[in-house]
Amino acid sequence: MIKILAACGAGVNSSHTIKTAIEEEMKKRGYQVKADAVMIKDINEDLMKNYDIFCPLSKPNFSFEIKIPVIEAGAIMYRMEHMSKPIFDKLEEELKKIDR
Amino acid sequence: MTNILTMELDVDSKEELFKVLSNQLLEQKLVKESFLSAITNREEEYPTAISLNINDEFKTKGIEDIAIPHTEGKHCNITAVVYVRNPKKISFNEMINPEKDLKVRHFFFILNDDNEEEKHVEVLGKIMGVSTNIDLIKKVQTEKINKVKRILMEEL
Repeated sequence: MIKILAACGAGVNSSHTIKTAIEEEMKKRGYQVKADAVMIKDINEDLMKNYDIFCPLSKPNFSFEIKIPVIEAGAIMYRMEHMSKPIFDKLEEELKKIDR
Repeated sequence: MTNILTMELDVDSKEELFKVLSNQLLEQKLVKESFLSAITNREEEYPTAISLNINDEFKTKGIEDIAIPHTEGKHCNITAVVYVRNPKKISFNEMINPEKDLKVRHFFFILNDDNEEEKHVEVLGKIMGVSTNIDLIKKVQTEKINKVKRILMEEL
């Protein structure tokens, strides 16, 4: 199962919206993914090791190098097709790479 | 159904907005003493303005940007949405693009109660649902505040 990490400031509202949207849409597209929502400040290098793809709300700024694909997912929040589709497409591209 | 509060304030800055609102919520015991500093710091680090300049229709109809200030559940006693309208626009940074400055006078404060996680994780989705529905958000931004409360009680 591919694991996705969603993150926002408080770790509740925005990241959960992203998490839910990603899980729903990827299921529709035929992928089984599990997404977790956390607070940005709780993320460290060790935690990141447990995930395959990182979907932060906005451009991340960490003191360590992120070794997994990063897809900025903030626009998913609008729940509008024309805003979220490009993000889901990018995500699907990464999922395909991992599948291989 | 989500608890809804609505209020009209008249403040000049983000600091004043947070202070006045926190005091009102604290008086009603809806938040804890720590709420003011928590929401202030949180907004500073992870801003929450959302552009509703979504397409030409939103622009033509004069839909204004919003912000959704919120903080961790441990500072709140209830799950609720507090819609605040201010006559003046105040500078807030954009959530998904923090270097961008938006001018905001419509606020959806989200109070999260830690004991009701299943409730509040859905709240933002519902707020976004209202905000991206052009007829609904127009009503919310222009109708009398009491009517807005009824609309939000139905929709959120």
